[in-house]
Formats: sequence, C-alpha cells, structure tokens
Amino acid sequence: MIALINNLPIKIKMMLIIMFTSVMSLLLAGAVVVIHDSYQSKKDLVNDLSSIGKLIADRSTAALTFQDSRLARENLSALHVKSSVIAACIFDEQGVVFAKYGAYNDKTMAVVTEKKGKPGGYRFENEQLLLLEPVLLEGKQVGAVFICASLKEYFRQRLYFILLVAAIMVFSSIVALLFSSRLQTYISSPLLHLTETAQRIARQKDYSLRATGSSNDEIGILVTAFNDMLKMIDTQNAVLEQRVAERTAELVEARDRAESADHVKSAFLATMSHELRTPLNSIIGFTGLVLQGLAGAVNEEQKKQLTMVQNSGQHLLTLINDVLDISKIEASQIEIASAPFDLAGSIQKIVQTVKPIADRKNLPVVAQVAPDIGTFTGDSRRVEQILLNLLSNAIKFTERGEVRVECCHDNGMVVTRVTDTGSGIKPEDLGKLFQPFRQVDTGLTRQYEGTGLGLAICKRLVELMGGTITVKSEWGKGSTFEFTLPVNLEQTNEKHSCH
Amino acid sequence: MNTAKKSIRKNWGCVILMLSVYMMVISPSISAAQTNGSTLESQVKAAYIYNFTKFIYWDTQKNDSSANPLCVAVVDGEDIGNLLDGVSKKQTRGRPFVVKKVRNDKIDIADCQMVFIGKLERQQLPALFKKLEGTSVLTVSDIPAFTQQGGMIGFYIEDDKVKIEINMDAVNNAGLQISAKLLEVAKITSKGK
Repeated sequence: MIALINNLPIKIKMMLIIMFTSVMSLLLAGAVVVIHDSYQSKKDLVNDLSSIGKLIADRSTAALTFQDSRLARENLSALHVKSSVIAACIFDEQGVVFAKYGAYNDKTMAVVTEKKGKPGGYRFENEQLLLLEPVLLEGKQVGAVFICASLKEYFRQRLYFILLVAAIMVFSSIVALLFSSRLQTYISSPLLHLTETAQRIARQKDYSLRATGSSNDEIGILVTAFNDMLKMIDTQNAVLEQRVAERTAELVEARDRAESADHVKSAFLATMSHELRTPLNSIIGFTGLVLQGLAGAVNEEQKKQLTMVQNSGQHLLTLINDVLDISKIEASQIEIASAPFDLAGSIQKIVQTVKPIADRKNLPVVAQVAPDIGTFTGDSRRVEQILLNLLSNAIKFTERGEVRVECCHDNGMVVTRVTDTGSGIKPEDLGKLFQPFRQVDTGLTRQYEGTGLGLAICKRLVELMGGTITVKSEWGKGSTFEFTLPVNLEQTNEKHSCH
Repeated sequence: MNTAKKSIRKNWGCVILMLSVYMMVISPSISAAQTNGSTLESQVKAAYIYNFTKFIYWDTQKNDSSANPLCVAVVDGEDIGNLLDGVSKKQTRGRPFVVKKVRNDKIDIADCQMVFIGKLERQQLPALFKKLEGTSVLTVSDIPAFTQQGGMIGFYIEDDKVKIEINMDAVNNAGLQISAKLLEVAKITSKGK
C-alpha cells in the first residue's frame, strides 16, 4: 500500500492528501452533526409530546374532577395536530381509562400498565414513544395523560437528514476534489516543470537549458539551486573541454614525436644493418677465397682459424639479417609476396639445408608432408625463413631423439608442425617466447647462441600472412611449434589431411 | 417540586395497577352505586363541593385572606355535611377547609365562602338569597332548577351522572370568578332562563 502510494505522481499524491483530509473532516463533522441532531431531535420529540401532554393534562383537571369524559375526549382530540400520535388516553385517579383517543386498545393499555412505573415519564419501545404525564390539581394527582406516538415519521426524518448530510458530504467532496485538482497545480506544476527540465537535460545532454520558476517558496529556491548547479556544470564542462582539448593536443604532439622517433630508429636500424652487411660480406667472401687457397697455400692451423673467422662472419650476418627483419617489420616496411609455390618442395629444401647440422648430432630429421598439399600461394621466401628458424631451433635444443616436420590441411588452413624431443620450455617461459630480444635461459649458460629474435620474427611473419603460431611444450620432453597459414581463395575446397 | 413530580410519577404506576384491578372488580357506574342508597351520589357531590374551591376565586379584598380557613356552610344536608367532614382536615389552595353544619333558623353564613343548601330548604331559598345579597358567598344546591331561582351552582343527574349547571349572572353579581375549566364541564344558565 505504501509502495503503491510512493509510486504515484506527486500530483495524485497531493490530491489524495487534500481529499483524505477534507473527506475525513467532513466525515467527522457529518458524524458529529448526525449524532447531535439525533440526540437533539429525540429530545425535541419528547419535549414536544410532553408539552402537549402537559397542556392536555392541565386542560383536563376539571374534566377529571367533575367527571366530564366528553370534555376530556375533546381535549385529547387536540392531538390530531400531531399525526404521529397513534393513541392516547386519560386515566382517572383510580387508574381507569377515562377518555380515549385514536387506536387505543387493551393491548396498549397493558403495555402502559406494565411500563409506566418507569421514572421519567416516557420510554421508547417498538418504534413507539410512550409518554405519561400526570394530571395535577393543586399539587395532587387526579389522573394521567398517556400518549403513544409512532416514531415512523421521526425515523423517516432521521433518514432524510442522514441522506441530506451524506449528499452535502458528497457534494463538498466533489467541490474539494475540484479545488484540490486546481490548487495542487500551484505546487505540482513547478515541480513537474523542474522534473521535465531535468529529464530533458539528461536526454539531450544540453546543460545550457534552465528551469523557470517565479515563486519565492522552497520550490523557487530549488529551481534557483538547480539552475545554479546547471550553470556550474556548464562552466566546468567548458573548462574540462578546454583542458581535454589541450591535453589531446599535447598527446597528439607527443605521439607524433614518438612515432617519428620510432620511424627514425627503425630506419636507422635498417640502414645500419644494410651498411653493416656490405663490409661483412666482403670479409666472409675474401676469407672464403683465402680458404680456397686462391691467395696462396694455407696451412692447417691457418685454415682452422680462417674457418672460425668465416663462421663468426656468417653468424654476424645472420644476426644482422634478423635485426634488419625485425626493424623492417616494426617500421612496417616489409612486403609479403604472393605467388604460387611448391610447399612440399620448400619443406624438403629446408630439411636438406639443416640436415648437415643434424647429422653432426646424429639426429634424424623426418619430414611428413600430406600428399594433397600441392601448390601453395604465398611468400615462399618467408615461409622458408619460418621453417628454417623453427627447424634450426629444434635441432639446436635437441641432443637425442628426432626432429619431425609435418604438414597437412585442416579446415581451410595449412598446418605445419615442427616437433622435437629436446629440452622443452618451462611453462612460465612460454609467454615471453615470442617477444623480441628474448632467449629462454638467457645469460645463465649461454649454451645456445642466437639473437633471440627468431621466434619474434616468425610470429610477426605468420601474422602478416594471416595465420597464427602456437607452441606446446613439456619441460625435459620436447616442444611442438605449430603455425597455420590460410589457404588462398582459389583452393577453398575443404581438405582434411591432418591426423 | 421536581422531586415531588418524580415521586408522583414513580408511585403512579403502582396506584394505577392497584386501582385498575380494583375498578375491574367494582363497577364505577353511579347507577350501580345508587342501588346501595344515595351515599355514592352524595359522595360525588361532596367531592365536587370540595373541588369547587379549587376552580373558584373569591375576591381577596373582602374576606378571602389566605390565613383564614375556607368555610363551607351546609344547610340541611346531613349526609353531605358528614361526608364533607371527612375532607375537612384537608387544605385547599393553602387554606384550611372548614365545614359548618347549620340549620336554616340559625343561619349565619356571613364568614363562609360557600353554602350548600339541601333539598328540604327549597321553600326558604328566596329568604336565603336575600340574606346573602351583596356578599361573595357561593351558593350550591341539588334542588332542581336551583340556578333558575337565583342559585349559582346546581347539581342535576344526567345519564346516571352528577352534572353541574352554573348561573353566570348570579356568580358575576356576587363578584366571584370561576375558572374556565370549571365552566367547560358545566352547563351555563342565566337567571331569566
């Protein structure tokens, strides 16, 4: 009930309050009036009848004293002015009926005889008023006047009065309703206007709107406070917008600076790598020429040392190439070619390339390529670079067992998997595996040389070609690197050759 | 006054109850009473005489001060006189009620307010009236045609009931005032009638 009232609009609430108050007062006033009138009119009824009774009693002293029942009857007949009187009679000194009026009968007489001992001289019974007035002569009772009046008229008047009061109350309630519905607008309409303004502001986000209100009461204060608040919000918004604009400008500037610095860095690295490669190539080339004895005979010791120079040069070249690649990728300068090539052939080629290293460690390298791979459209050089990287890593970290390459179709992708039985990767290291300049176990043993850029380059290349690269590994048991490449649109026929 | 009224009302019930039972056994009719002799008729007359004092106003200027007793002279009406003796202890309008039984020859009613004249004194009426001329004495009698002869209040029997007739001229001449209530129950006659 309370919740129901709480949910009502303030307009209805106010009308309810006004109506409740006025109807309650009306009910109370009506009840008091009706009760008072009921009491008063009953008293009046008795007084009225009693007066008539007294009058008749006074007029009947001689009639009783000198036994003139005709006169007594005449006196009683004056009662005909009172239509409510049903019956009346005059008793003589002995209590015998001396004169009758109306529908007087023995039954009434019996009632009177039975009841009139009651002090006060009257009583209400069976919707009748029974009244007994003594006839006094010189202070001595010489008889009595009995009057029996019907209360039907009285009850009818009571009902009429109650209906009248009810009608007045209904009418007053309607008037109160009309007034309340008019008067409540004095309070509710400024509030409704305020609410509407607040809602419009919330909807339109327009803080330049203002509520209007002219009253000097609490609602007027509320309107003023509301407008002041709006003004503050508006001002603060302007300040904030200005600050945001300033900050944005600063940030844009900073970003631009950072971006250009990054570009400069990448460009510098790319250029530097290229510039570094030129002298390195001549070192490696001329070392090779010396090794081949084209510049004169070299003894075994010289040959051994020159081979070390050549190997170091090769390694340095690899490092520089990697740095160049990652710089190009970071600087978005790398271009991915798209041409058909024989993926199975590429895999064979890379396996052959790494085979001498594997043979030195007595590691078999098994290539298992599904027969339906056929021609693959993409950048063969990059795919081979990824394969070489993964296979080199696998052989590098494996002492026993085997290194396996698998290639198959799976759900519109070509899946290539490189599995080894090497040292494996700790679970906590898996996350940083593909980040640049990271090598697992860095620094501790430096058992395996490398830039730490290989996998980062692989990841970026695979992603550039629209594929993904993942790793599964168990510490001490080996790792599986798997990369997927999307099959180009010309070959969308679904093939599943993976096991 | 109020408490007196209340007590009357209170007792009224018992009185009514008692008397109504009594009246059911004993017939109230005067004709029935007459079979027992003239006593009941006389009783009624005696009561009427007593009650007249309550409806008639004597001139207070003369001899009607409240200190004096209200005197009724009964001339030759033994039974009425005796009956009135029974009520003589009573008061009427705050005055003692006194009955004087007199004989015609010794008639001295100057200090009485009322005189009842028995049937036997019919012949003496003119002398009596002469004697009372100029006084405020109310004359009452059951002599037939009493009022026609100059009497003031006369009793007569009608429908077995004792009725009253009043000679207004005689009453007015005597300077008496009679309550309208009494006039209502009485038959009004005049001297000439």
